[in-house]
Amino acid sequence: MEQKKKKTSSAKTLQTAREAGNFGKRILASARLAAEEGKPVAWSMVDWWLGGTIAKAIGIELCYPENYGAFCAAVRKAEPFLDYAENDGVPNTTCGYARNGIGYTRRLKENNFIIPEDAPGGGMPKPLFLLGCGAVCDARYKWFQSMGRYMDVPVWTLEFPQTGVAEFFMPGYKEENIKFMVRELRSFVEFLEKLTGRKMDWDNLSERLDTTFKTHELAHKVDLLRKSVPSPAVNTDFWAIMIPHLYLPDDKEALAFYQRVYEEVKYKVDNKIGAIPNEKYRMAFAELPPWHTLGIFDEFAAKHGIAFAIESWNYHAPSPLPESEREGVNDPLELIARYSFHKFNEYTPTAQLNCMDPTIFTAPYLKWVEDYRIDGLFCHPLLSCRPATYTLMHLRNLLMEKCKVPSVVVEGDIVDLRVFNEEEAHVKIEAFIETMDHYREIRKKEGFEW
Amino acid sequence: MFFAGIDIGSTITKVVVRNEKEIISTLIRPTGAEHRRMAHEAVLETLQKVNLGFEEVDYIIATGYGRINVPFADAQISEITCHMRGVNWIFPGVKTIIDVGGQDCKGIKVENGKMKNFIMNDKCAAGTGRFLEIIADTLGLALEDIGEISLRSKKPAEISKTCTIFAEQEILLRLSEGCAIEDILAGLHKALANRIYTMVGKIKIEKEVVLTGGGAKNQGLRKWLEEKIGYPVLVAEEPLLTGALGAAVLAQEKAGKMSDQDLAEMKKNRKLEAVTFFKEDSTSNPGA
Amino acid sequence: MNELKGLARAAQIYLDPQQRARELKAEGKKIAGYLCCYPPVEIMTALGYVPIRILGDMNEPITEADAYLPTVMCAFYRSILDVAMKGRYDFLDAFIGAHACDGAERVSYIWRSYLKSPCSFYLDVPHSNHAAAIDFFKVQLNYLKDELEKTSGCNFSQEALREAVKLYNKQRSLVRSLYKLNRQDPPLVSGSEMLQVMVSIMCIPAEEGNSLLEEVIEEVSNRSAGPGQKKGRILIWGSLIDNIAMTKLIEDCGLNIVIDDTAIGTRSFWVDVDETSDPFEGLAVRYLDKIVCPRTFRDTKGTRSEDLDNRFKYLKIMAKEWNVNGVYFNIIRNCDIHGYEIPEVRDYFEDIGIPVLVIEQDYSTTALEPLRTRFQAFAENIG
Repeated sequence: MEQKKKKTSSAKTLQTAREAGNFGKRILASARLAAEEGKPVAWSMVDWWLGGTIAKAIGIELCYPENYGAFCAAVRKAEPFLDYAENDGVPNTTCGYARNGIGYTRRLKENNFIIPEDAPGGGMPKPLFLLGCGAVCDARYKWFQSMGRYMDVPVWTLEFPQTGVAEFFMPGYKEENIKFMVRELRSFVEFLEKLTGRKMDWDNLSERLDTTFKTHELAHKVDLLRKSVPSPAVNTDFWAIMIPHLYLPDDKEALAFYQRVYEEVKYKVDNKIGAIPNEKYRMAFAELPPWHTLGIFDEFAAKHGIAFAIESWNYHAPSPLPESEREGVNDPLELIARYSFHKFNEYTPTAQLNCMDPTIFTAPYLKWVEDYRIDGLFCHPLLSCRPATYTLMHLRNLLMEKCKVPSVVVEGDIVDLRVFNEEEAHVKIEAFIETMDHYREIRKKEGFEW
Repeated sequence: MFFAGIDIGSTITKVVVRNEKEIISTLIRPTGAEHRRMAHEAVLETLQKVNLGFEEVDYIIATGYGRINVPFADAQISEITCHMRGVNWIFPGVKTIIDVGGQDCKGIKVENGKMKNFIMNDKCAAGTGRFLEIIADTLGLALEDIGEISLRSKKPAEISKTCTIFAEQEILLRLSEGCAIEDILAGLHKALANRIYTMVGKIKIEKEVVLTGGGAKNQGLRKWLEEKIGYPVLVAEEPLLTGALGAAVLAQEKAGKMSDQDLAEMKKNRKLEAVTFFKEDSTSNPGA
Repeated sequence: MNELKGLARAAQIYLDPQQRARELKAEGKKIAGYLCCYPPVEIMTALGYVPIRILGDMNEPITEADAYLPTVMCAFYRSILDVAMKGRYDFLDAFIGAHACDGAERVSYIWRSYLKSPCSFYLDVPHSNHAAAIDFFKVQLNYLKDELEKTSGCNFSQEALREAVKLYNKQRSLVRSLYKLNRQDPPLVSGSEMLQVMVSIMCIPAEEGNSLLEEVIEEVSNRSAGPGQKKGRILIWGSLIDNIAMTKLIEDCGLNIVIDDTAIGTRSFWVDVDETSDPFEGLAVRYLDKIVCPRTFRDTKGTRSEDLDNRFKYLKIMAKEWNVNGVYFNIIRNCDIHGYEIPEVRDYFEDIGIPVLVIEQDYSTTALEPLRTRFQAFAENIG
């Protein structure tokens, strides 16, 4: 009775993307090494370069339960952790990353904080504190607060303002936001200094920021190159190469890596080499992928010539901070605040132009469909990640109304493969091909550029 | 004196009649769409088996999903309490009850004969007997056989989905891959057992564990649950009857607290009529 | 104009909570609708607006909202957008959205994208009660004031704001007095009656609400037959209940609802606004720090048990003062902020010997009946 083993992971089209996995493993390994050497380790949310960089500058090693959730899902080892979190009363409707993290933490505690031997990827060591964040979703701080239940370590929540489109343009509004963020960062530094008994190394922080800006600039340039037809890289490449720019942008190796990514992508653009052979359709993907079944995108490419040209707004590096905002800013904390605020609000003018809210998760796609000549949007509502799902229906409506770009909806989850149905995805995509053809004609008739 | 418990479940109606010491008559039959209103006939039938008249019964308690507005019941008590009492009567040492019914699945924690805590799944067929019914249907097998068949497997298939709809599709996929029926069934039972274990684990599973409801009759489910829990679980001789039995036990208790005069008065007012279901505006709530 | 008084009047308002606002609108008043308990009603009132709390409707099947919101989000906020899309709040002169939680935040955004009112403001509520957050919130409240002022037709005055603070503090004190009548056994007010009163006072002008509360307090203080004694006295913790179908079901199963910590209940009224020289200061502190909802992060304090006391001690006090013997966690499905808190609050209560019933409900009256067994078993268990 031979069972055919279907490949669940994606082959990726960039050589550099295939190497990026090492960064994820390295984060975990260096955290464990630091813990063994008695150095401080913290668990951090992805916080868009607010607190993580600061913590590292004071000498704290970080690992990321969110990334660990995606990792456990990708190797299909998340289910026992999900079950174990639910078993303690955490609703099965909460974030998949969170339940994975809570289940892992509960196990870690029961093992007297010795990492269980079978922990996927070697596991995360017990932290000195938990660094939550207010950006994007409630889970970012509520989840971390709830992990405190098992570990008796302090939780710090970094504030992040959630800005409305009309409010963004009110006089003085933006500067009030920056002021607030800077004050919050200052309290965070005080918290760190008190907790570790160390002094903040401001030079180290500035140096890290400098590297971050350079890494991100390259990442952003790669995004710009991806506007080319045929697409030189696709979503599965991005989801691999994003690890270093999200988690280690201040690392010299990440910068060197991005230089190579940039060169590889540039070479492909210059020589008109497409990521997938025979690109027929260009799609966008919103917002987070089924980590457990990334191979499905290779199948879409092979079967229908679909290249996913752009995806996951939330995980992209922003464009470089405009000179006008950097000028005269000497406080690295202010620079961080301005940069992170820029990440979340750089598409606000697009939102204003279209008379809609919100900027986050929505407005960028309105610009992207034109810039990347998108034929259709793949919406992936997640059963357990609401923030990446709340605005998907809204986005579909807007893309159709304003740009005549259709979308297809396939429900699933980032972690819980039990709720993703591959067959359904294939059936829907097959039917969607015709829809994309149809709207190409309509856009042509109505005088759209693509 | 005689006491009756009637458990009107979503799929099966169960009746237990007791005297002060033991069970004297029982009945199990499908609730069915047309039969559910005929619960009073089920009671009569149970009584007839031992030549008892309706008026000879001193106290009747209704329980189960159809317990509301049973005109001939002297009280209605939730099936959670009744199951607990019934199981506790059979197994005085019980600490955890896992009840896998046709529509829901519950866990009940017992301490010294008292309900300490309980938990119930909701909404979804996953983790209930309904899951097994649908699976049996999909494979064209009888529900009562699938547990046995699953035990033959040496290599359970990987079934990742417990969502019933997805699981159906996954079965078809495994079949197309040439996977053997017993391996698929073993995988499904294992997945169901995991799901139930996770849910009931919220109230902390402690020995002795008693498995009740239709699910208790399924050998495959029992095996995988035992494997997950780490020790054997107990099953009553007739696991379907524990709710009705508990109701009958509680009926005896209730009657014992009443004077003969009050009992006689109550019996006089009792009407042997068909069951009405979920009358929204009804405020009568004899159990409260 | 209305001869009904007290509980009867509350029952009448509850049946059509927006009716009074529509009447006032016809008389030329301006109406401001707001989400959750974070936008300060004092500011709206001081600028001549009648503030009304925007509610969902458990009786209304969600049909319109499906085109704008996914099914996996908070059912209460889905319902809010649904009834709004169907025109229930078309009469609003001002819409005040708020970042109370993700659900409220995203619904605020989507609401504004499709439903345009003369004034629309999205109030960013910081995540924590840090000092910088309270200052930032104060700035936000000033922006809110500026936006409302533009369309209010009157000028803002500190004096009017101070008066409004007094008016609402009186309301809060009346609400506390009413709840205190439930400390006795049996309680004087049923959970359903209490809910009708709470919904009513959130949807009519404060002066009218205060009169209503005074009437109700007098009425129930003198009543001979209240809800009567049942098997259990429970506290409800969770996001909110805004339909008496839910409270009736609970009470039918043999439970007295004597106190709650929910957003259409004590959470919106429990603490006063300090009358500070700059009224915005008192407002910012009260709304961001003093309202206790899991949506606000509080810095970890001391040991684990000290931290839990810092977050939940008020619940222990409530449970003791209202002498409850059970707690029902009312979790509207997909509510993250309460969801993550479940294991901690559950253990916190169970550690002091109070049993807990957790139910994730779907905010729909048609989905209530299956919950009956659980409430009944819980009543049998604690009774």
